Amino acid sequence: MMQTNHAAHTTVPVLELAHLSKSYGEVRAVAGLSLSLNPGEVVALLGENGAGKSTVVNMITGMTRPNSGQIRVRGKEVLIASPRDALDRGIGVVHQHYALVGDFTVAETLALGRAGPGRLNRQALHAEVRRVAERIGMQIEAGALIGSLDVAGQQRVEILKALSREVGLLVLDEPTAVLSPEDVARLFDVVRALRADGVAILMVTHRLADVFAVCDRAAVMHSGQLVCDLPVMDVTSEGLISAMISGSTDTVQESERMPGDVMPARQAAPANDAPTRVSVRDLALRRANGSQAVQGLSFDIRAGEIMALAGVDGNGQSELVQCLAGVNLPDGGTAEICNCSSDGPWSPRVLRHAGVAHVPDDRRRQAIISDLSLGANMILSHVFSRRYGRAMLDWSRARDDTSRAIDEYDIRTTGPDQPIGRLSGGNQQKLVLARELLAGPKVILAAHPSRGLDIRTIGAVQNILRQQRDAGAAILLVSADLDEIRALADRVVVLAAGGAFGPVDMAQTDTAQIGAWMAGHT
Amino acid sequence: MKSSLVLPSLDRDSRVALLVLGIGALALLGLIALAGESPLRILAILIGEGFLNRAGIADSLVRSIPLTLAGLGVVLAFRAGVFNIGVEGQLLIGAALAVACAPILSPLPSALSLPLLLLAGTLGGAVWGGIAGFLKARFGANEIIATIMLNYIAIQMVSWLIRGPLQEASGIFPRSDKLANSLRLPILFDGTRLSAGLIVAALACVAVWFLVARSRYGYALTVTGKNPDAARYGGIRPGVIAFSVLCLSGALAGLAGIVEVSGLHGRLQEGFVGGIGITAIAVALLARLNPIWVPVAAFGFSGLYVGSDSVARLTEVPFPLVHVIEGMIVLAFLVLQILTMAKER
Amino acid sequence: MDLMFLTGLLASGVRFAIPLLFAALGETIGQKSGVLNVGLEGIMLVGAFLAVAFSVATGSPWGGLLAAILGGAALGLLHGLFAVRLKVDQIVSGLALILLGLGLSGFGYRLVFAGQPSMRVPGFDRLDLGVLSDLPLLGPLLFSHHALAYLGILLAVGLWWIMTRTGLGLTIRAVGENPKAADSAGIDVDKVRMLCTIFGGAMAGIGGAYLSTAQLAGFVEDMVAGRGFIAIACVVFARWNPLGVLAVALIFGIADAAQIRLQPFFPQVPYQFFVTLPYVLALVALAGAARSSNLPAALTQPYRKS
Repeated sequence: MMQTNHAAHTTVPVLELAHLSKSYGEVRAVAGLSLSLNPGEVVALLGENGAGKSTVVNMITGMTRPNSGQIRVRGKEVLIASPRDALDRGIGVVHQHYALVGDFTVAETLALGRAGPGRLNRQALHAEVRRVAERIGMQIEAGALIGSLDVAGQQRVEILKALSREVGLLVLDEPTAVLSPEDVARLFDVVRALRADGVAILMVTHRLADVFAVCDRAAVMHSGQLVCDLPVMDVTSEGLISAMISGSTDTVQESERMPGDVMPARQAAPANDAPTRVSVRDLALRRANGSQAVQGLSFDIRAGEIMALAGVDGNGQSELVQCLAGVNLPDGGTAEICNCSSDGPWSPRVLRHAGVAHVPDDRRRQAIISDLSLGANMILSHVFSRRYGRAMLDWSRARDDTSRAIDEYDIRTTGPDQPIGRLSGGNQQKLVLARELLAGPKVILAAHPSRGLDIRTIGAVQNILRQQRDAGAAILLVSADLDEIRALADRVVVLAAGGAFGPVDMAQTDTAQIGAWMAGHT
Repeated sequence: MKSSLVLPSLDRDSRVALLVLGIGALALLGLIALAGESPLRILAILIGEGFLNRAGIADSLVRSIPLTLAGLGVVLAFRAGVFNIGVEGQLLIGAALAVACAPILSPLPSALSLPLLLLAGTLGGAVWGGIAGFLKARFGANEIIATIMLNYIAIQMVSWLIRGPLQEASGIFPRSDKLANSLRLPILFDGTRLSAGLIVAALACVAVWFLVARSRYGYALTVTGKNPDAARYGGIRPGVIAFSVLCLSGALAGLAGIVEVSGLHGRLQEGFVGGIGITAIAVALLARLNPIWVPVAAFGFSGLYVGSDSVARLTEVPFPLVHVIEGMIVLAFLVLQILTMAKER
Repeated sequence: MDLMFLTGLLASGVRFAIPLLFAALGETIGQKSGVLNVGLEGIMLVGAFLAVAFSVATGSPWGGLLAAILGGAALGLLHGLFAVRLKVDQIVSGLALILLGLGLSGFGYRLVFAGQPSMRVPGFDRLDLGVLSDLPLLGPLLFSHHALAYLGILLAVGLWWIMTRTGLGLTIRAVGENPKAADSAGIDVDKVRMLCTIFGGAMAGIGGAYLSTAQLAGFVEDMVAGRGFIAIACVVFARWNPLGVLAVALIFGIADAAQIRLQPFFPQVPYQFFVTLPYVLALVALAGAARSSNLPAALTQPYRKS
């Protein structure tokens, strides 16, 4: 079994990274990074998007190989050429996007890659699941199908999967990003149990709250370099933010401050006589697999108002946005947007025509065509409007619009003819926003508009939404980030476990209440 | 190790790809040697007869007419991510419908009857493609299998038609009567078999290019092919695209069929376009789904066929070698793709 | 139609089903691992030709079978190299296989057998199970097939057991459902897919061999006549379940046998309509079964790390 006598190992780090570097073509992702983790130590790895955190995780877990530098496991230099190598060295990882097979049971998931090719012994596998789960006080059913578990449940399976092997180091990549506050607390209990067991944990995160809640040390990366590596008791949130943004541990510079922080939430609600743009009555929605995602949901959004749709991912937000965008029909109740009703013609084309803009949560899957140019991507939302002509397309106008958007939104690109797939996520998102806002929408459906973006782009995106609100748009903002909701929303609806809480005015609630609703508490 | 010395600037994928292609080329030479011929002589005949002498060029042009039209149909479908392997069936049904309409059309003045004949062929192909399109859009049936099944059904239908309702009046051979002269596409150059179908094909090229590069529908095709979810998000309905593009693709194939009948054979008979479906796909792929390059690729493959005919006639190397070469060309196309991808990375 | 007719029909249905069964079983495993091979038709052609050529050369159908297996595996390897290793479009690579198969088999046939059309091929004999084979009705139906037929049925059961009950099956399913999950569990995704694709090629080779050395006795150009594609339709219709493949292949086999045996009963109906029967059936099957949740999620998607 893994080291129960960790006292003997305390002097030897479980993992040591020495002068690790990795480049992708011209881009230097990680430059000369050194970091070490001792047994029973929880280290937070922080940084903006693109700072190099994922590359570090990939090098440790054998997904990519460093160009130079050494990785030492328990003092011995090793070459980690594949995920299997990493597992063999006692390095487990829970990726941000879980790598699970939907139609496997929990027990089969644990058996994958470990059982021999021959007959599976179901009883032994189930016993093994129970044994590992008990060790860290986790509750899970060995025969449950992965596809039937919620996000938190799947994360527990991922952790179990890692622990079912002899693990000295567990890498958790953004483990709290999609969890409810209650599930975060449960996760941290597991982390503490592992720490007590002598397991070293590297937690990649962007939430400062995680750092102070459970970590022993905070390591901050900026442009591929480690700019801060200190015990948590010696750092402040201001210091960490400063290190993440500017790479310096000095005081926060005024110009680099997050725009979202500068602007306080608007206190005054929009005028009561503003027209209602979105109206949802007793709405029921099903997931692709047929299960009930939303039931009995009712709310209105008026012009000039931002309604936040809060909740942990997977509680029907995505289904609701897809329905309001016209991609799916409701399974019950009605939705009305700008004089269109789901009882009548209801499709993306009809709704776009009525003035609905849609910033989807899965940008790569839905909002862009990677190998087409920025200009061609610009057309996507306006293909059936007359903006770019009718039967024949006005490509020169599309390029002009794109060039203007590049200037206005500060999109880093070589020009409107560059394939959009070459751009960073933030720049892609800015083009999507530019495109959606091009025709002055009456309604904006913004699903996690700032997820996965760096802090500066987040500020820009939030400012754009405020401007649109002031220009009279009705905005539905889907977010799981309480800070973002507080910074932007006028009112909030919370979706949790098939039920809905609210809507309530932001002035009449607080983040604690919203957090409790997200966890399913009234 | 050795290959890294020879090709120092290539990544591993590119080297593997080139290695496979090299082995394939060697195997091809081996096959020719197996037939007891010198590869050089075969190559000389292939190129000389297919591309370099007058008669060969004329023959290649004649062959490239239906291949261009069918290739354009494949380009449209493939651009939308719809794998239409049923060009042959659509072509047969188009030709059959047009020939069936011929008795009604022949009394009309030629300026009217010939366009109507071509229209009938186009319509027949569109219907046959549309069946697969309907099955895909309505039931999600895989269009590869559906179009191939429809190929076999079309072959049987034509086999029945030319032995039944459409058989020539004398009832001797399994073939239709000759089309009236007013329904024949005129020959462009005396002494050749090159018909005005060449003009039809050229016009179709321009039209398809315009559709693909300039029209909203062409944009919708490309978006659907590259990312169906994004298409749906933009208001494009992939089901409608799949159905309509299979109709369009079939229409072009049907046009190819009647152009071949009206311009070349003059009647419906068995196996008059055998194997064109898969060659049309090779043409479309080699043209990189760009309509402008389709006639060039079609001419190349036609020359290959004409040359292979001569090879089979003059040497011991059997005709099916041409399919092996076609297969190798498709693989070479893939290898090229890998090389350019590696360069962009 | 009497009982004799029915047993005759079913027995010949079984014979028609076997080539489909082998090809479809191999394709099931390939697709379960995430690789679509639309080139089965070409592989079956090569298998059919090699089986005849090497049966004649070695004087034994088993020699021919071995050659067909090796030839099929080699084409499977080629598909794997392009579709799995080099990660190009699986459909385009499969199309190349169709062309290569058509060309290689036709080329070889004309080269080897030119001028000897009525070649005596040492084909597979039916197994003589003594008393059992002599049973009335049941004998011809169940106990008088070629050894390959029984092997195919055993394989269907065996593959079903492997896919659902063993670690190997778990590995293959994971690779086709979520290659990333398999990779993070230390499984070499490309290797598993490669082996499954080679296996699929070998199985299609056996299907072709059965066609030319057991069902018919000899090779004719383009003799597979779309069975490679029907085999793919079988996989879809059977919802990627090897036991289902057995059932569906039998349905298609019986349809094929029926179209031949029913023709004399309806002389007024053109025979071409009967010939289209299996193809129409495949269309109906596709339309009915296409939207299945059993479709391997990563089918046709090459796996690239991170």
